[in-house]
Amino acid sequence: MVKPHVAIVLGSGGHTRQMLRLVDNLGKKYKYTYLIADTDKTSEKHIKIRGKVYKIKDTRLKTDTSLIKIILKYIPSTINVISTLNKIRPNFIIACGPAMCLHTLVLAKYLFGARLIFFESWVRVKSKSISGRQIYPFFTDNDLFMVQWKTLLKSYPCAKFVGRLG
Amino acid sequence: MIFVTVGTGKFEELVKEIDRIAPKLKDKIIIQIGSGEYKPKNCEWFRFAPSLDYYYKKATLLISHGGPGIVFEILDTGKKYIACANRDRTDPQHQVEFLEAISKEATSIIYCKDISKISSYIQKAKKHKPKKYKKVKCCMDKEVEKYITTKKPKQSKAKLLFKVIKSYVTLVNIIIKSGAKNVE
Repeated sequence: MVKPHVAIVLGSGGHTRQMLRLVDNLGKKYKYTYLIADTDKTSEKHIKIRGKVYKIKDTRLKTDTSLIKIILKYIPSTINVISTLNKIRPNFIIACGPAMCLHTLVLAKYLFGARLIFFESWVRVKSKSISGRQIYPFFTDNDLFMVQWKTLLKSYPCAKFVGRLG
Repeated sequence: MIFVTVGTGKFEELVKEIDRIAPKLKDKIIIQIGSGEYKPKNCEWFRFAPSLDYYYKKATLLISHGGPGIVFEILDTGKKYIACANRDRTDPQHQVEFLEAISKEATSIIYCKDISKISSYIQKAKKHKPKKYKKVKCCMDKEVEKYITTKKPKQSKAKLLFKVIKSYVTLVNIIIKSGAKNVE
């Protein structure tokens, strides 16, 4: 049987740490491909289970929110994402933030028919994260949305509580 | 020995405060300052280390920032320690929220709300006796596996059909009603 192809969006710092813990727990049953922000230099070293690594133009804004800058960041990144996803063609895509996972997930779902998996970071106890809040409306019955604190279920009614990676 | 760690970022407020109170404390202090600019004068310090396990083992008391990566790492060692929320982040509130919640679950964490009073927290921590922390089981990998192995539910198409039929019925209903009115 062909292994299911899983694309993994690594964030940076804590996002990467959680994601790689999940990948280590999942083991070698799947074929992995990693997507990394081009500004992120440390994440690639930590990958244990090998897979192809693609770099994507980062769209992280931090405190900067002027419309022109958003457009200037998103247009080249979108083209970049479409061309890489076209090479990868994943069956599933897992992400947990930050900003660069948003358009990647949406494009993967609507252009390439991938099924989405998203989990909220372990710091999120009561309040939603920015990427979580923005991506939640795109999640239907076909996708999987997970949280790591039971208190978050109030704000994400369709999510699943799955314990904590820590 | 007291070991202070701030992770890969910077947490100047904590480093400065520890450096200020260091002469008053009897214990030896080592600080891992990360990418911070302030260099402590009254205690030993270093920027990064490949692994902090050595310091975790040697230390009698640990002080850290509220990053969950480090918090869970120290929780695994079973030592009691003081955690301070670092507000110098993209989202200043999330470490506060996290520390409040986790310190209720794990008694080995002493959440320091006010960094300027950290010396009193250090005194308190010396007498503090924590209970053992029960880890919250993680079934995320199983959930993902289950999700990947189940095939795309065909419900969605049935639901769509159902929606189409429902809207069609309501449309017909409206037409019939208006037709009935015309007859009257």
